[in-house]
Amino acid sequence: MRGGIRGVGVFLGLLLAAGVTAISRTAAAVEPSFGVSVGGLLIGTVPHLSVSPHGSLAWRWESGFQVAVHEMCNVLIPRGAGPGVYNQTSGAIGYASDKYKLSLGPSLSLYVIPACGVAFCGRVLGLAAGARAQVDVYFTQVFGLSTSASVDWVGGRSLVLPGSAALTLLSGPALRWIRD
Amino acid sequence: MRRFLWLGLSALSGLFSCNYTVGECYYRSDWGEGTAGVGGGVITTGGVGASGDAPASQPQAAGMIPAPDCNIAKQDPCNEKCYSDYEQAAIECGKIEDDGQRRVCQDAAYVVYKGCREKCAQAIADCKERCKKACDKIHDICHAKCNKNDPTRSCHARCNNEYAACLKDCDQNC
Repeated sequence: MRGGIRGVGVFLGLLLAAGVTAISRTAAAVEPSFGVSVGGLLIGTVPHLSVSPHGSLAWRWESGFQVAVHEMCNVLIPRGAGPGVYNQTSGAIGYASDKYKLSLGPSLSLYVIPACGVAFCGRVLGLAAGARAQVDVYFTQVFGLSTSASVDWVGGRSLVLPGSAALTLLSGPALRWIRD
Repeated sequence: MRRFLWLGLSALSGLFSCNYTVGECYYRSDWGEGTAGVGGGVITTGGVGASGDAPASQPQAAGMIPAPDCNIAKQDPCNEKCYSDYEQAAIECGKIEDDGQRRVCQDAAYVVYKGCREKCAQAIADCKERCKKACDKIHDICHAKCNKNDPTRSCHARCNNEYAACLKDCDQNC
């Protein structure tokens, strides 16, 4: 499985690099943003509280159309079964204005988490694919509130999580820089 | 169009999703009780690349409740049924509040699961035995026909090839 994960990682990295190169030549504005969100992650049958630093790079056209890549590292707060990490990388398209940003796209997550299914619990390592949506509301040019939600399909050989969904709902402050 | 989009997304999700239990797993009723290691209920991972040495389907120590491997290998329908029944029983046992009674229930569920797997193994062995006997019979008839009608090397070679294919089918179908 490690070979498979590495292969997918290399493929996504190359795709990302190609996309970044192609987009940066034509986009009107580049907009990096960062933040830390807090919220919940439900994977299997047990919810977790998560603190999630995240960053994104968006290319915005004059029409408001934007293409973005997001990286979010959900650090699960230990609750009797040790800590966990659910790292989510996503690509998105959306609309952005001076006050709002809305994006939606596919996501790929790499995780090492304590989890429970219907009958068994354990520490699970895996890869999950799904979709993610993010809405940012900016109060000033730089400062705003970011809210995101995602649904991933979690499945594989683990007896603990042979097939289930992972849901995340997070919100927190975000900072952005607009470069023309 | 929308249906194709959903189908595509589902296929992609399935393609990229994979996971593996790292180390030990335990019954859900033990979640939050200090988890692994306290008071039993721990199942050690078996299989390729796993840390556990003991097969998870065997009791590992006194007082510990055994359960299936923490990672599922693709199983035949008979063993799949055993596992799904066992999972159902484990869920029911998990609802029992009294620790002692819950352990008794989980032990009993495991005994049933083990018996079920043994029956599957026996059924598979019986099936293979019957199938191979049938192959032997067909093989003998084939050679007898060759001796009678076409006593050439190629005829006997064809019988041997068919016999090998028959045995392979037995392994695949039982």
